[in-house]
Amino acid sequence: MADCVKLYGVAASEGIAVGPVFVHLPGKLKPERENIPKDAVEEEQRRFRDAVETVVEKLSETAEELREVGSESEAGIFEAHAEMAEDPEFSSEVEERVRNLESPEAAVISVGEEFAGIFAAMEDEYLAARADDVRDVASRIASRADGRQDGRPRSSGEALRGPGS
Amino acid sequence: MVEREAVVVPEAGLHARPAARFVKEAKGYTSQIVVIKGGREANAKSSLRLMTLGAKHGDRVMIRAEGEDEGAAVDALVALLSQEEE
Repeated sequence: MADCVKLYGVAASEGIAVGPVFVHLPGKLKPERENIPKDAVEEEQRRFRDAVETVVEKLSETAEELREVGSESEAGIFEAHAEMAEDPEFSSEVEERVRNLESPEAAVISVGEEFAGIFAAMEDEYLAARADDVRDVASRIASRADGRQDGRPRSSGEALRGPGS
Repeated sequence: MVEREAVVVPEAGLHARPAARFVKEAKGYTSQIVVIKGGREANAKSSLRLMTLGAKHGDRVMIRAEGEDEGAAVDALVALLSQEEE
C-alpha cells in the first residue's frame, strides 16, 4: 500500500463502500458546439431525443440496481433524476432552441441553467439544493447530445453501493 | 374541465421524490393537467415545473384537468397528495 492516499470528505451516506472512485468536477459545462446549420435541425432534434432516452434508461437502470441491493432511498433519487431527464417542458424548451439553430448540447445546458437558477433562488433550502440535480441531469444529456462518446463514468452507480453489495 | 383543491400532506411537500411520483401518476392520463398555487400554474406532467411551485406540506393547491379522463385524473391526484409518502 505504498500508494495509499487518504482523502477526507463529507459522507453522503452511512456505511462503507468499496469500488472505483471517480472525480466529479462540477462547474459550468461548456458545450462542444454553440450553433448548428439550418439543414441539420431535424438530425440534431433526433440526437437530443436519443440522448434523453439513453440517459433516462441509464438512470432507471441504476435506480433498479440500487433497489435490488436494498438502497431504496438512493433508488428514489435516481428515479427523480430520470423523471427530470424526460421532463416534457424541459424537452420542448430545448427543441424550441434547436429550431432556432442552437446546438442541442448548448440548448440543454442553457435550459438546465434556467431551471437551476429558479431553484437556487427559492427560499426553501431543500428546493434550492435541486439546482445541482438539474445541472447534473442537464450535463448528462448534453454530453450525450454533442455526438461524442459519453465521458461520464458508466459505473458511477457502483461507487454508491453500500456494504454487502 | 374538473378542478378540486387539495392540501399537500407529504412531509416533504411537492419536491423531488413526491413530485416524481405525482408526475408518474399524471402521465397515466391523457387530459391536460395543471397544478395551481398562489396564482401560478404548473404542468402536472413536468416535475421541474411542479417543483418551481415550491408547494410545501400543509399548502393548498388546486388541481385542474381538461380532457377525456379529467374526472379520474383529478380524483387520483388529489388522493395522492392527500396521503403520506410511503
